[in-house]
Amino acid sequence: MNEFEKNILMVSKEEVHTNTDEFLTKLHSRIQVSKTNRQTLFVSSAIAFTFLFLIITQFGAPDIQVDSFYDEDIEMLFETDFWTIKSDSLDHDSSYTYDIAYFLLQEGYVWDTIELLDELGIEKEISL
Amino acid sequence: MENDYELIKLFQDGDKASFDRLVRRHLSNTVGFFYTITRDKMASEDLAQDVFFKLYKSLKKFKFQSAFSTYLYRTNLNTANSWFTRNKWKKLLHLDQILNQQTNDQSVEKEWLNKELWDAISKLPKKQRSVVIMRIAEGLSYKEISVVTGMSEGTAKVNFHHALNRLKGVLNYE
Repeated sequence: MNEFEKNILMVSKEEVHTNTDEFLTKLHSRIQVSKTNRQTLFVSSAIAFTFLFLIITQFGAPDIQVDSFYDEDIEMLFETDFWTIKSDSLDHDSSYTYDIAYFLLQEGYVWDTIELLDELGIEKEISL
Repeated sequence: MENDYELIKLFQDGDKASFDRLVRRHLSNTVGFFYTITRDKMASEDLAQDVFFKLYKSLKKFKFQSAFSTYLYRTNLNTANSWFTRNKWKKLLHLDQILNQQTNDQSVEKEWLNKELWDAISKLPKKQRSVVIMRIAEGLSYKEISVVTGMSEGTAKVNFHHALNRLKGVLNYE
């Protein structure tokens, strides 16, 4: 062991008086604060998680499907059999009936058009 | 009178008072250790608070595989190393104030040398610093240092030797 090492190892070590009771009181209050902080953190996390869950699930709102706004059965419109259609033609206004008649005429169904108009006329008479 | 292991066992079983008895037993050594490094009573008590707070949280998982004193030395060393890191900039800011001090009184001069020494130690690499702290502030042997730090006895000796050479240079020792 050289001189320098001896000097360093001789570094002054003084006895420090510490009030043990005061020290323990401070320590326990620190432990208590830490426990309270942990509880606060736990409760805050639980609340945040609940809110996040409710936001994700849209607060229980029904799942509205946007694609229900259009009719998927477009083919049905072309395959409609106008003679056996299960709706009361009287429910439609006259312009709608004329449109159908005009469409049938354009397609070349002359006799069918006449029959349609004739049948509508009969039905009107019956309802009267 | 219960030994450390018995007190820890009681604490693990829910007896909070046994922790207080453990603190009372090791308080003066722990505060003394930090006082040697910091030369500040308030700071050393605060650091001792940190140590026992860490122990309160970790002793519930203590596995009785090493002596409690080793466990305490390791906690002290880690806390001291954290303190050195935290105070790197703080010390730089305080440096001017220290240089302005008049050192006529012998005890003040001694204090001044102590401060210079610990300033120099704080600038050592972590391994060397750890060995020097354990050797100077705790007065441990190389064998004990090797148990606390996890390095071999030879490595501890080599680190201490390199640390002394560095300190000689920094403190202009001839």
